[in-house]
Amino acid sequence: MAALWTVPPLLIVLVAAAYPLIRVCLESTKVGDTQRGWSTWSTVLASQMFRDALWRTVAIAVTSTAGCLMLGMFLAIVLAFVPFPGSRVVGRLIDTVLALPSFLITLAFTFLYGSAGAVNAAISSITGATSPVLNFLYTPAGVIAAEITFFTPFVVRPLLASFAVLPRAQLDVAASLGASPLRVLRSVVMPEAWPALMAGGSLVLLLTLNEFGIVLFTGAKGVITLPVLIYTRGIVTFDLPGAAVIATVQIALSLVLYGLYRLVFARLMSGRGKGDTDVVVEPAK
Amino acid sequence: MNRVGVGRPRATTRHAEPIETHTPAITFDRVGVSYGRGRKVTKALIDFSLRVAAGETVALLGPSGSGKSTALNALAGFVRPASGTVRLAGRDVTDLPPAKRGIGVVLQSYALFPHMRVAENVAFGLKSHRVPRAEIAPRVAEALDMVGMATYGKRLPRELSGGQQQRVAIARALAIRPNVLLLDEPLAALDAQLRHSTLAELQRLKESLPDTAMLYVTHDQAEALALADRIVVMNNARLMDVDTAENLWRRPPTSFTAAFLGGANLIPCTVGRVIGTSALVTIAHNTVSAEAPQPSVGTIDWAPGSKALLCIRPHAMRIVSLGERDALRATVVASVWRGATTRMVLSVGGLPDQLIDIDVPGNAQIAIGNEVGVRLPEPAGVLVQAS
Repeated sequence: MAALWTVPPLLIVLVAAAYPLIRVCLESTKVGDTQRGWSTWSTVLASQMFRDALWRTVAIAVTSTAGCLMLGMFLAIVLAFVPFPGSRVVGRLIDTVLALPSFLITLAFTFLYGSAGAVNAAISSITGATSPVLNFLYTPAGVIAAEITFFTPFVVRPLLASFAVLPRAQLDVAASLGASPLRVLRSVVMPEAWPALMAGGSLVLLLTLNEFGIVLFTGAKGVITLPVLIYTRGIVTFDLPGAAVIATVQIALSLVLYGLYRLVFARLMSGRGKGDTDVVVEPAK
Repeated sequence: MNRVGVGRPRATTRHAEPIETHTPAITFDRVGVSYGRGRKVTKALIDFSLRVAAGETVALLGPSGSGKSTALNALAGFVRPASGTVRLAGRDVTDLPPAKRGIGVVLQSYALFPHMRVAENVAFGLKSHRVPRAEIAPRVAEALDMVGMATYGKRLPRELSGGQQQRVAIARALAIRPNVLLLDEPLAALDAQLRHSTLAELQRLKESLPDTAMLYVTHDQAEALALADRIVVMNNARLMDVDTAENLWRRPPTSFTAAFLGGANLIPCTVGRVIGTSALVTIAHNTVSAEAPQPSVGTIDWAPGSKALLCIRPHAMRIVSLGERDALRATVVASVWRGATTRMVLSVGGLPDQLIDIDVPGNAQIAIGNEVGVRLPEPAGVLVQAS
């Protein structure tokens, strides 16, 4: 009887998630209207555009994730351990960013750093330059900057949650034992926060790998990533089998990353503290 | 009432104010700690002054919220006093961060670093103090050996029992060889049996650290009585009394101390004739003798006819036959068997609105509502000023 209760959620997962993915994979093997084969795969995988897009997607995702991790860690540490007036407001603002669609951030970037944006206008009024000095927004650097801005809260939030459950007593005792704030952070705080940092970083890597809105708004002219390529092939040129091949690669990338994340997370949780101690206990003299 | 205790008095001294020629290991000088701002400010410690000599163990005893942990936190540097100064061996450390104070701290929650093994936990302070690498392992072993945990160096904290974790926490604090050791309710998280054995180990540890000043925060009077050379009784963020455990027990200066330390009966009485430190007092139409103590600083005017409280410990009174001479007439209101003794709660004739507690050996079978006689000791008790 209890097994019957698993049927409805299983059906929902199959219909809502698994079937569309399987359908995409099947679509990628279509040759013509009725035949199936791997010719579309070999054509797409051999194309320079696909390789460039794949490389650029991974490069942007990895760079953005690294940026998010560094900025997120810094912000979380400041918010959690350096009390300053307005820290709560900053915390709330970070939460607000999580609720916004990604393209809004990009739009704000356009108003700020675009060719006719506020920053360029200010620089021109000071230097008298006739062409925009800041011209990075429509390059991979612009995409990375926008992604770091948008996705950093995904690192900050779990880190703050992790810091919040860290017993205050541990920090006090560490300080009383002569540890500098940096040593307390390195030896006491961060080892406890690794799972949260890993979780946030992995999530950001997955999201940046699949990010479409930011790339479309900022870099669509010159920055082609896998999601943009899928969009172009599927919607603009109506090459659905070609789009399906790239989508399948995208799905495989995401699943491999997710699998790696689970593996690393599981090892991190089970192996915490299992490393060899650097202190050998000898009998007291 | 604020008193400044100095030095390591002998248990037989009447009051703990001997002349101290050496610089105290710990000095609190009118320390105040407040939390919050503006109208929401809470005074957690008010005008707290205390001196602790090297090698002395002082217990801060009081109910929750009495300010005892705040005093310890101010000494450790975890909170910054709003007023007053804190000194360690004469050096003003009020504004010094905890890392620069060189104090060993043991907390109720153990606060072991969960990702480090026992040996690494103990080595943490040594590494922070940049002790040469070759010295670390022997000192870790020495500290673990002191608390009987020498064979547990490679375990993780989660693989230890509560008592073992607390011993590791003590070893970690001792490894840096501090001159001052702070213990904040170190036994509170342990079960009764473990608390008993760990308390015995703390007593042994205290003897093995003759030069270390210890400040021991607890709300358990048994721990304070067992460990402390002197006890500081705290209430409402203030120091109420400070003296040797024996003096505070035998002659509590205030009604709060009398009630908190040992749960004394405080029976309203009228002071009669006073000769030296003895007095005749009237309770429930009976005249009995009592001690009328004088403090070392100032005097108490036990004026004939004045109202006072007679402090009598529950175990000092006896239940006797109703007809016995000089026995007070009382009615049993409640009876609770506590194993070795039975706590009887009685209503005494002539003392309206006053219940008294008497501890009777064994499992006393006296029915509730029965009338009994109550015999007071000679002298009946100690006079305490009515607040």
